[in-house]
Amino acid sequence: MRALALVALVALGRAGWGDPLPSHASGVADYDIRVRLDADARTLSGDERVTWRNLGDEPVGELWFHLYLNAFKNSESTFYRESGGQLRRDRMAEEGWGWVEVKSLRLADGTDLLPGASFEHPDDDNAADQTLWRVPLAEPVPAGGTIVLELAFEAKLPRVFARTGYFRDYFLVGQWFPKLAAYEPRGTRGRERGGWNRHQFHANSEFYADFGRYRVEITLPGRFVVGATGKRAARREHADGSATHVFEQADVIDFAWTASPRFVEVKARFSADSDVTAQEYADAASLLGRSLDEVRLSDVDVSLLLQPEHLPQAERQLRAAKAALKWFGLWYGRYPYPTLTIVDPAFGAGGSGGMEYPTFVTGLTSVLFNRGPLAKVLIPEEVIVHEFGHQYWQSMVASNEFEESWLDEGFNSYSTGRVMEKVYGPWMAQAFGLRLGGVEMGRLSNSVERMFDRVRSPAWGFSSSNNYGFNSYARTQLTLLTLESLVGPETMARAMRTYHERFRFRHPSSDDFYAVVSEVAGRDMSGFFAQATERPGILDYEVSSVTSERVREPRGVFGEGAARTSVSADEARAKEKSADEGAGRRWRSSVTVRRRGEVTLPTALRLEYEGGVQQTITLTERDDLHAGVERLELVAGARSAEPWRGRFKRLELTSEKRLVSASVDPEDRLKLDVNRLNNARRSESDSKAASLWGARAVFWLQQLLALAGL
Amino acid sequence: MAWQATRAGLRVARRSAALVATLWLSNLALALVAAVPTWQALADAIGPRPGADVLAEAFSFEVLADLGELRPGLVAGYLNAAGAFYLLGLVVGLVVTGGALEVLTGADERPFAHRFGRGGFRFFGRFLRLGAMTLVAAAILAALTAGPLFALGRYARRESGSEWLSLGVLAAAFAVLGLALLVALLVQDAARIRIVREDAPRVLPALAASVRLVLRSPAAWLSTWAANALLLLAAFGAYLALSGAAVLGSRLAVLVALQQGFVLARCGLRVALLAAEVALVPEPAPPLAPAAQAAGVEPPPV
Repeated sequence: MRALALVALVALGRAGWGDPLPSHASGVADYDIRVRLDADARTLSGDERVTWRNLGDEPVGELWFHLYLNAFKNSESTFYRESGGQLRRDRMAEEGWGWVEVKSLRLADGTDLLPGASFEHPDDDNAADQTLWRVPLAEPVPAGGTIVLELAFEAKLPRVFARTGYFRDYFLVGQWFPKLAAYEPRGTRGRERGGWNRHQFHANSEFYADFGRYRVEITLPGRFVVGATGKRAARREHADGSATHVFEQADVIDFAWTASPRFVEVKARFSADSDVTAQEYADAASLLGRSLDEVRLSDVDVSLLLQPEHLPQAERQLRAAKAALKWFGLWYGRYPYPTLTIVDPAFGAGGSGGMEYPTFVTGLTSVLFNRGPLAKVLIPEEVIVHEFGHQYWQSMVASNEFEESWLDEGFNSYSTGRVMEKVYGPWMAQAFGLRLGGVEMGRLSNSVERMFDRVRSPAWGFSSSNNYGFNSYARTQLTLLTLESLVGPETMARAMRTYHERFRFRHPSSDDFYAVVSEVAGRDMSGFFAQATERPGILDYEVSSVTSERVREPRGVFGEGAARTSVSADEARAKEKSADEGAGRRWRSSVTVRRRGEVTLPTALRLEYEGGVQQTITLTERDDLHAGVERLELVAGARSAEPWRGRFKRLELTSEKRLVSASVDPEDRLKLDVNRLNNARRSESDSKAASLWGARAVFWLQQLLALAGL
Repeated sequence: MAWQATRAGLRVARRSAALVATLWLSNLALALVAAVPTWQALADAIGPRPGADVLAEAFSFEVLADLGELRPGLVAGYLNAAGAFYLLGLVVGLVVTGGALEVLTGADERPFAHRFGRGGFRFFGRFLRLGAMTLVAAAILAALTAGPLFALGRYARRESGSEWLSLGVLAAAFAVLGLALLVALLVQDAARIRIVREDAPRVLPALAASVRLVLRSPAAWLSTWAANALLLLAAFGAYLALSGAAVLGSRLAVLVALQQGFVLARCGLRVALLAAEVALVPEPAPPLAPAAQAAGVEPPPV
């Protein structure tokens, strides 16, 4: 019991009572692995010693293992069924299967656990899936207790497909060893009772594990250049021409490695002194409300394992890596590991590109980006920054990618976008006279078709793979940008920093993030998240009509009996003419704002009058437009301000000047808005852009006809 | 040789102002029929929207995507119209080419309109059959030459491990494909010239003779085409440079004038190319006098 109390105290201390940025994880699962690669047969044989600690307050009577390489075993695995053998612009080779098999499993005292083990498939009841393995224990592991297991395993690597495997003499070895699932003690992610969080390997999710220390010895032919998670502890040559590479790393949730004789290793060092200026430290500290010591970074050895044909990109890739180390570090907390390894996959093995493992990421590039017209397309940089970002939102803040993928991919998309804009400016790609911005890319994929899914969903629970991608990446990015505009950039930066500090080396849930934002913002933000992430629906405000015309003199018959008078059309026109020659007639205008989506957020409506006079009114659906009406009268005098009727609101107003245009969200703060073009409307058309593009349409059609022989 | 032929072609084009103008006007008329409704729809869609004003400065993917959502049929409608009018252009192009060749090859003194109209309709059916045969021949030629290279490129991408090799094979495949299609087009031009000049009633012999003609002197044909293409490229470069300045200066009238100037130049170059190609096709042998026929004299080879 005392031990349990001590563990809880240490955990609480690391969670926020002491240094806001914990320096170490509470190690749960330690791995000591010796593995040998047969480079010709593309097989692995290994021994593994696992030490698991029960940090919960309940005894645990079973263990759950990920045997995720079995996702590549046959066409019946859940991963294959979900992907159809095509994923991430990659297609699985016909005979490129891979698998892993545990040959023995014993406790330290020799007890054989293998006979009782079984494959389970809680996510989809797919009996053919062998990626999740349950091991019952004869004796439960008591609360605060430890269990040590000895395993032997063999594996056949798949030909590289969507993440892992071999291609010729290139190996990217991820999800390769029997690894424990994550055990969530009571209280973790809102759990009322402790238990294993166990999921099969899915097409769109694969990461959720506990922290631990890894020591891995990799033996393979001596000609191979090797990179891996963690720091190289030793390299031993053997008489048979093979070599053993030893890597160690603590406080990580996974281990991956790569090998190829073709790699060219480019080394660099990120210096906390020379790569970050004093002003940048001061600005970060000021933005975050932290001391300079708290935002201080540490040095990191960066190793870039490049394909020879991509050597001309070495500088730009290292620049991207250093930029990521700097800005993720300054904004969210220093990178705590001494190394970062970036792998450039072999051509033909692009499926292993754009992947993230602790201290070890894979890029994705092409010789076309070396120089020439595509040199300003920042795909290589963006991939490196994004994959590095997973160190923060999936590795250190160890989100559950299976159940809440937005906390990983989406937070990372938001963070990546901020780093890219800070370092490279707003344009992600510039070529052939065209350009595309980072946020614009996210917005391009947003549309009314996105109304069906909610962001907080299991990775395999979206209506389509495409909607998984949109909601987990772009929509979350747009949501967080919208949130930033609502709470302000400083509050947002502090909320993100606090969330990272509080949950570094822990497993947060969406609710934990909501609570942090409300706490830092000083107001309840649950209404925002209820709409933006917890419920399906889209945000789309529209100015559907704007009219503005001169007030006409009354005409017709007025009064009764002897008091009856009439005003003829000619008399009215004469009065109007007389008024026009004098002070001029007033203008009567009408503006209709509609809400096409389900999401409602406070925004503004800007009215622009002739002569450049502007007025901005608050547009909320709760308290109507009272403040706006008052302000309207300052300039124009509102005739009426009707409440929202269903999903629209109409404003009618008179003014001295003609109303030129009306714009909802004129500052473009609501990045979630699916259509920005309909946010504003003029009272009179402007044909300039249409004429230009109409002329171009004619011209290019003429070229097409010329090709036809005309 | 190629430059001489091109210069001679350009001289012919300069003398054939009516022909060049006819080509330009027929091109413009057809394009306007298809594009004006799109233009009007575009004006209705973006004219009232200040968010689209950025299009006056530069292309915007975001505005295009939003526009596509607000007016789902607009972009697709334009593309469909362009496709339909391309097919229509292929048909009208047969008439125009027939008329142009009649004007360029004949020594007829009758009015231009008469000759152009006669040539256009007289050879339409034969040109149509010739086009179908050329299409089949071009497809076979492309499949035989570029097809294996594309297959090799796919294999190299999957298995070679070398991006440079894969890209090289792909580039070679496209180059061979382009060359095959170009040869087919040149053969078709030569066959058209033969049909018009000789009033040949049968298409297949004309096509076969033209294949032999082009393959006998491919350098002359390809270099003549290449010289013309270079001039077209230069004209396009000048257009791009000047039109960029016109757009920046918001001078729509200047832009339209530049556009039509380029199209006019393109029509002129097309006439010049046809004239240069006419010079590459030998004149048919003159009919032998009855006395020579009686003496058993062979006509000179063509």
